[in-house]
Amino acid sequence: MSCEGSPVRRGLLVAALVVIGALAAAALLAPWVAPHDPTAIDLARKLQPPGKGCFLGTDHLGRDLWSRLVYGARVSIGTVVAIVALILVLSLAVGCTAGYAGGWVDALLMRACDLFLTFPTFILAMFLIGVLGTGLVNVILAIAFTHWAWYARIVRALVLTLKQRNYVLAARVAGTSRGRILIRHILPPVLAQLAILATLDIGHMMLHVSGLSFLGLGVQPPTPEWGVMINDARQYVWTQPALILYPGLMIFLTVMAFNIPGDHLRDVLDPVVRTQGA
Amino acid sequence: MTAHPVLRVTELEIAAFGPHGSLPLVRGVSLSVLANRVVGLIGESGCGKSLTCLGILGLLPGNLRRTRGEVFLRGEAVHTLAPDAMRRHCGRSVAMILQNPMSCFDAVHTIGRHFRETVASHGLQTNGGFRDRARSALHEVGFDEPDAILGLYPFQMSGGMLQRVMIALALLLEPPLLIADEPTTDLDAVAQATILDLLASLRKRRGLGVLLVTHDLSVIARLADEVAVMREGAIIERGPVTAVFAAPRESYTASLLRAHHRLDRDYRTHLGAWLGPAAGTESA
Amino acid sequence: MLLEVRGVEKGYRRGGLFGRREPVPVLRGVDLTLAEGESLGLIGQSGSGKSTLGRIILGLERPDAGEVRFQGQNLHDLPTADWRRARRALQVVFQDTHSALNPRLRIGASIAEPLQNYERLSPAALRDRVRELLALVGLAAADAEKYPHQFSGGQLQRIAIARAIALTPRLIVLDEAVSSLDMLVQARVLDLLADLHRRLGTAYLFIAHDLRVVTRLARRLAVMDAGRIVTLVDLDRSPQPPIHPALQRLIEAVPAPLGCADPSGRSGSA
Repeated sequence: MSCEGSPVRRGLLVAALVVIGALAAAALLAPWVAPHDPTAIDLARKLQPPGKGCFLGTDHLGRDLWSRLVYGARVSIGTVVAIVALILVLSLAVGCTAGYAGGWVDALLMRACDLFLTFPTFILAMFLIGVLGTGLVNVILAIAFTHWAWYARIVRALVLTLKQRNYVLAARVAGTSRGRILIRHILPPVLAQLAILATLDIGHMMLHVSGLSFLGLGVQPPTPEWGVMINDARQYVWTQPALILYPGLMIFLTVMAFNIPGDHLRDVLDPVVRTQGA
Repeated sequence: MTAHPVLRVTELEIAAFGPHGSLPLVRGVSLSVLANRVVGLIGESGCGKSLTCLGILGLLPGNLRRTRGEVFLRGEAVHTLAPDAMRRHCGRSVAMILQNPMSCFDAVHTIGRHFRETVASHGLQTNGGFRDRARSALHEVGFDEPDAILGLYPFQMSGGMLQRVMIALALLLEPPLLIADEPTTDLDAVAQATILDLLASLRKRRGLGVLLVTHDLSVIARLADEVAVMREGAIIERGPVTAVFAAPRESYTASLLRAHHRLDRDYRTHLGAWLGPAAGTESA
Repeated sequence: MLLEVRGVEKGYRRGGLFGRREPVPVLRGVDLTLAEGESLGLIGQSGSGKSTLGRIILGLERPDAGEVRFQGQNLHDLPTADWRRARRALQVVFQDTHSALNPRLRIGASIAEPLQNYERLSPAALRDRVRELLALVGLAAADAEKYPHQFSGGQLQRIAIARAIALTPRLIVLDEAVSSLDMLVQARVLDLLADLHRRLGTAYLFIAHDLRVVTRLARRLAVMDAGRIVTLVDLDRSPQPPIHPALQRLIEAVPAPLGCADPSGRSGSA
């Protein structure tokens, strides 16, 4: 990957990638990385400081903090990936159709988008959860439903611009079918743009997941999740701030780690920059 | 008595800096433009003529830097100034008009707003007085209804009209030097002729010094007193226009002239009788 | 007749959410004919409607009225299969060299696109054909692997020409194809176009604003002004005065020859 810029910038990118790699590893390999069962309650050993066997100590129910953080990565990151995937699918489908077809199809789809855009995330989430019940899947659905419309508008705007490019007109004249034009000429730049936006938004989504869980609307205990951990530890903020600090730090690190490569992703996906010097 | 040159550039060098080291793009360019004289800089795309203009004004993009050379505007050294000071100085002394007029205007603001901003950014009054100046500037460039123009948005105007507005904006601050970078290239033939006539009359009326950059020999022939031929970053030949065009020393210059004459000759042969008795006579 | 345009009209609705404003007419009834293998110049100032006419002839836009008959068929009324067949005989080269090719694709892939749409060629045969086309336009076979940004404007135009001739079309619409090029490069591309015209017998509809460029390739000129074809010039016949003012303007816009003592004082320095 060509990394232009100062050593600081490059250093940050490397650090970010390392963090993402570690988080991914933690998420995938949780059962092997975590020394203890994150839901195993042992009241005799509650609120222990870091020590033998428990790398970061225990929480108020005697559960190993480190294990809970590791399993929490699985939940938090897995959820966010699912949300982003759902958003991408929905926004691409709607945005491309609206932009490419135009006319009344466009108008209809955009009005649907407008409808979804008017709902603030938490309100819609609470409504959905009220109807569907709590749980991880519903959290994913709630957050995806409140965000896809924004992306769909961006996709549509991009498609509208790209439709007018001379190389798309040339492809039409060359006899390329509409479907092929969409896949070959329009989708790649749209996907590249979406990828960049999505990485920047991953942190945002993560905060939503944690926020909803913190409010008790999302993940239910004993499932480990960073937002839930913060919620549980509220009453211990003065006595054992570590219980809030660690999950909070994890959220912060994850959000930062995903924001940094988003910038560099643009360079990677742009063929002009990529082949510079050729 | 030699007048102080409005612009004097000595041994200007510009290089691009990248991960693979530096690449010289402009090498040892020296020019001087006197008041009421037009100096033409001619060359193909990529020869560095536009970069030379940007280098003179300190407007080079990110990875390009001026590595050597001195620039004097009306005798004052500007190459040593910090970017802000240079901007202020150049804004008063140099006007620049570019190739694609549409891209130089902000699409959401009217022409009148553009005038106000230009005036304000150089610390002049923007109350009633400026409207009169705007009107007279627009009138000078050939608009009969300046007030109507002030209310229009850029997209409502043709390329030729926008170029005239750009010239009016450029002259608003009465600079002694005008740098015109391919001012007619994106315009159709009739609009090109209009702009060239306008530049010729303005230069005479205001005694402007003009640095005219183009790839088109007829533009040089129409407007310039002297010409410098640029190739691959360096000036390979220079002199009075009539002398260089009549007897070029460099083979590159000769090939440019040959291509031009061929196109012209073919045109006059093809169009033949349609050009009537006013058809130009053959030149060398 | 390869191409017949009859009574084509086109207008664009001006914006406005509320209320219907009068549409701006761009083409007000255009008639044109083009024979097999002929080279016709379509010349006019900006805003005369020539590019819009080009797009309608290419089938990229529909006319509001009138018809375009290509190879005897009404282009805008064809069923899909016939439309596809007609398409391969009608290709284009645009003015803007930089946006005419997908920047993410290697130019070999861009040139191969029309071939992939119409012919069943094996990858090896496709590669050979692309190589042939590149050679025809004066580029090296190795260039097929490069990206558009690695080429100059003149080379990009050659690549666009290679793509246009890939299917050996009967008609190529050249929409200001040389207007953004430098003089020397322009001359070379015009030579290439003339050469291909001789070799392949393709008809050209050459849209331009500069008489010098148009007359290099065409013996018949259609002059457009304000959405109509106001006069047809056949350069092989003597002119019948009076010359239409639109044509007169275009003739006067051509600069005097270098070094000529022009009575209007237009050439040389003051």
